[in-house]
Amino acid sequence: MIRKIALKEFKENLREGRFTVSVVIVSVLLIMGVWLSYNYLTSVQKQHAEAKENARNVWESQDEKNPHSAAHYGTYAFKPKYPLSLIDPGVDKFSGISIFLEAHKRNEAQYMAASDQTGLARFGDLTPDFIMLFIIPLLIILTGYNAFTREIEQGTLKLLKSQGISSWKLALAKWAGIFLPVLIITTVLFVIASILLMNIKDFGELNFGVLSLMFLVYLVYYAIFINITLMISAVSKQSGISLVSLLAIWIIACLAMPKASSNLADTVYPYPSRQAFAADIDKDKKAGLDGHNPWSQAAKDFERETLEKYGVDSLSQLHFNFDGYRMQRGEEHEAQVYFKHYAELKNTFRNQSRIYQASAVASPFLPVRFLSMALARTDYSAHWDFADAAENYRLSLIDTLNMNFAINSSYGDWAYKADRSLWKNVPDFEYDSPSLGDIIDRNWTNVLILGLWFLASFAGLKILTQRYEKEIKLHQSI
Amino acid sequence: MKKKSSYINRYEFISLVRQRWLQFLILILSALVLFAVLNGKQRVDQRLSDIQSAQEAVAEKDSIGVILLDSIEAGFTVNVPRWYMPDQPNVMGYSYLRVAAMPPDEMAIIATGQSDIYTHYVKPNMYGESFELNYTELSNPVQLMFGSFDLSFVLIYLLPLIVIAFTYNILSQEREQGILQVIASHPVSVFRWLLQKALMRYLLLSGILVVLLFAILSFAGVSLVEDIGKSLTFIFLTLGYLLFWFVLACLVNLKGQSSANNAVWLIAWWIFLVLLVPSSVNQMANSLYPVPSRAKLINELRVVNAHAEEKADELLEGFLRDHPELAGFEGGSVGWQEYFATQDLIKSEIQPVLDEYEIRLKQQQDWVDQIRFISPALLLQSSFNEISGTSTRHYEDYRQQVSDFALVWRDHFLPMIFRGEKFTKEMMPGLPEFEYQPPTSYRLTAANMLALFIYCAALFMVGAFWSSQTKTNLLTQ
Repeated sequence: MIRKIALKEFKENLREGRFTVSVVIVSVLLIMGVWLSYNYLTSVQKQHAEAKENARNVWESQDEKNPHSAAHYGTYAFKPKYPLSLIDPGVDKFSGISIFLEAHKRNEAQYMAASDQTGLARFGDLTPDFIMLFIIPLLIILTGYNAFTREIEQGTLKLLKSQGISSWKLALAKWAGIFLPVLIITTVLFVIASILLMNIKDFGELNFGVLSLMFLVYLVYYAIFINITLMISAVSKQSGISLVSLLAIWIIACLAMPKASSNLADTVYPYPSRQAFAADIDKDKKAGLDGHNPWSQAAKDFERETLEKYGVDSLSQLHFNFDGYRMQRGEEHEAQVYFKHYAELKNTFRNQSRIYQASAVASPFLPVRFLSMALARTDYSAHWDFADAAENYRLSLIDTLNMNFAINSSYGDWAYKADRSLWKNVPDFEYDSPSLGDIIDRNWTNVLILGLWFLASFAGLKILTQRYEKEIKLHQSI
Repeated sequence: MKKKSSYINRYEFISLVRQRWLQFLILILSALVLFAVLNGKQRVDQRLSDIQSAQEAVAEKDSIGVILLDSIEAGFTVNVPRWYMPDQPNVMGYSYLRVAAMPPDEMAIIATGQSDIYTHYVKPNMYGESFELNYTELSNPVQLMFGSFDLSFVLIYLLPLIVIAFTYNILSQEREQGILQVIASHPVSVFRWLLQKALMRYLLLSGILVVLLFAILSFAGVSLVEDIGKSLTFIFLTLGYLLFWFVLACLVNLKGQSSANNAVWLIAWWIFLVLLVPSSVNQMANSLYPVPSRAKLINELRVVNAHAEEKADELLEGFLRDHPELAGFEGGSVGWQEYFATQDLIKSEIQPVLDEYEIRLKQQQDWVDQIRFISPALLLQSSFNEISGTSTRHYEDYRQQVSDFALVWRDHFLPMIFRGEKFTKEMMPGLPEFEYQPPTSYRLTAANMLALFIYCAALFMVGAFWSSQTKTNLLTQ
C-alpha cells in the first residue's frame, strides 16, 4: 500500500508541470554549478602546483648568504585545494591562500579570493553546495507543501481513508514520494562529481568514504526537510498558508539563523581587529628576548646564563656563535608569544563555533553546512590546521638556519655565509589534510545535532499526522 | 466613486485588523528592523572604538616621545637604545606612526557591505610600501560566508517575502471565497478594485516601515534629518523596492490562478531575482574578467624584488636590508639614499603587476554596474552599500588615500634623514596627519531609483493590459 501511494505521488508529481519545471531548473543549475566549480578547481590546483614549485625554486636558488638573512628572505606555504571543494568550497573564498614564512613573524594567510571580487561576491556563488543547501530544500517544499492539504481541498481524503490506510502510513508513502526524486537528483550529482574527481590527480581511495558520508549528510538533511514539510502540510488548513509557513521556516533556517548566529557570535566572542591583535603580540614580544638586540636586559640575562652554563668568561670562548644562538632563543620566545595569542584566537573561534552549534537547535541547515564543509576540508578548522602546520614548519626552518649560523661561525662573525646546498637540504613544506577520524572527532556535536533533528522531526511527523487523523475523523463525524 | 473607494479601503482596513494581519506586520517588522539595526550599531560602535583606541595608543606613544625628546634636548642621557631614539627622523618615521583611519559613515548601520572584510585603520610607516599593507580584517571566515543580519538583509531579502505573504492571495482568495462574483456585480472593474486593495496594503506597509525605520534608526543614534538627501534616497529606494514586489504580486494575482499557485510563482520570482541572478552575475563577472592568480603574483613579486636588489649597491647588503632601523647609526646618509632608491625601483617594477589586479577588478565592477538592472535586488544592494559608505569602491578609495598619505609621511622625513638632521620636539605638532575624505557623490543611486520606478510602471502597464484582456476569466477560473 505504502509503495503504491508513493509511486502514485511520484507519478502525480511528474505529471505536474510545476514539478517538472523545478526539477529541470535545479538540474540545470547543478550541472552549471558542477561545471563552473570543476573549471575553477582544476585551474586553481594548477596555479597552486606552479606557485609551490616556483616558491621552492626561488628558495633553492638563493646565493650564498648568512642563514639568518635567508630566514628573513623566507618562503611561502600554499594552501592546497582539496578535491571535494568541487562540491563544497566552504569558506575557501574568505580565507587566504598562502602564508609567508619568515624569521621572527607568524604571518596570516593572505589574498582571500573574496577581496578580488566585487561586492556581489557576498550574495554567494552558484556552486553545487549552494544548490544542495538552499535550493533543493525549496524544491522539497514546493513538492510537498500541499501533500495533505490537497487531499482535503480536492476531497480525495475520504476516498483514501475508505481504503483503510492509517495517517502514519499515508505520511510515510507521501514521504517516499517526495524523497525519491530528491534521491535521484542527489545521487546523479554525486556520481558525476565522483567521475570528475577521479580525473583529478590527488583523489585518494579514502575520499570515496568521505564522499559517501557527505552524500549521507545531505540525504539526512533532505529527510528532515521532508518531515518538516509534511508536518506543516498536515496542520495547515489551506495549501497557500502551508506554503507561506514553510517558506518562512526555510528563510529562518537557511538565511536568517546563520546570519543572526554570526552576529551573536561576533557580539559575545568578538575577534580582535588585525591591528590590535598585532599590537598585543608586539607588546609581548618586546617584553622578552629580541634576537637582534644584544643590549636589552633580556639579552644581558641570557648572555650571563649562557656563560655560566658553559663555564666560560667571554662569548668568544664559546664553541658556537652566540649571535646565532641568541637569534634562535629570540625566535623561540617569539614563537611562544605567537603560540599564546593564536591559542587565544583559536579559543575565540571555538567559542564562536559553540554559538553556531547552539543555534543549530533552530536550524537543521547549520549542522549540515558545517559537516559538509568539514568533510570537504574547506571549513575554518581545516584552515587552522593548515596555518598551524605552516607555523610548525616555519619554526623548524628558522631553527635549522639559526643553528647552522651558530654552529658554523664564531662570535661576531656576521660575514659568515652558508653554502647554497643548505637551501636545498632544508626539507620542503609538505602538508597532509586532517584525517577523516579527526574531522569526525571535531564535528561530533554537529553529527549529534543533525541526528537529533532527524529523529525529532520523524517523531514530530508521527505525532502530527495522528492529530491530523483525529481531526479528519472529527470532520467526518460532523 | 470616491465614496466607493473609501468603502473599499475601510472594509479592507477592518478586515486586515480583524485577521490580525496588521498586528502581525507591525510586530514582525519591528522585531526584524530592531535586531538588524542593533547588529549594525554593534558593528559601527566596534569600528569607532577600534579607531579610537588606536588613536589613544598613538597619543600615548607621542607623549612618551615628547618626554624623551625633552630629555635629549636638555642633554640628559636616556635609557633607550639608539634605534628607539625619537630624535632620529628615521625612528620617528618608523615607530611614531599616525593612524590612517576610515571612520564609519553616519548611515553605515544600514549595510555591512564590505566592512567586515576590510580593516578600518592602518599605520603606514616610511619603509613599508602601501601595497604591502594588509587591508583584510582578521575575522572568522564563517561569518563572512554567512554575512550579517543587517538592515540591508532585512530589506532586500525579507521584505519581499513579507510582501509575498501579505499579497499572494489578494485576489485569488476573494475568488476562492466567492466574493469576487459579488464585487463583479458592482460598478467597479476588478482591476480597479484590486488596485484599491493593493494600494491600501502598500500604503499601510510603507507607512509602518517608514515610521519604524525612523524610530529605530533614531533610537540607534542615526539622524535621518541631518543628511536629508541621503535619507530620502534610502527611504525612496526601499519604498520603490516594496512597490516593485507589490506590483509583481498583483500581476501574478491577475493571472487568475489559485492562491497556492500564486505563492509558488512569487517565490520562484524571489528565488530568481534575489538568490540566483546576483550569484550568477558575480560568477559571470569572475569568468569574464578573471583576476590573475595571486599565487603567481607572490612569486612575481619575489623575482622583481630580487632583481631590484641586485641592482642596488652592495652598501646595504644583508643584515641592514632586513633591519633598516639599524642603518641610522651604522652608516651615513648614502645608505639611506641607496635604500630608498631600491624601494622606488621595486615599486615602479611591481606597480604594473599590481595594476593588472586593479584593472580587472574595475572591469568586473563596470560590468556588474551595467548589468545590475536585471534584478532590483542588485540595484538595492549597490545603492545601500553606496549610502552606507561600505561599498568596494569606498574601500578602494580609502586604500588610495592611504597610499598617498604613506608617500607624504615618507617625504616628510626623507630630507631630514638625508641631511643627517635631528628630529626635535618643536616638529611634533607639524607631523602630517591623515584625514579620510569620503567620496562626495553617491554613484548610481539616482539611476537605481529611477530604474526601480520604471520597473514598477512597466509591470503596472502589463497588469492594466492583461486585465483589459482577461476580465471575464478572472471570475470563472
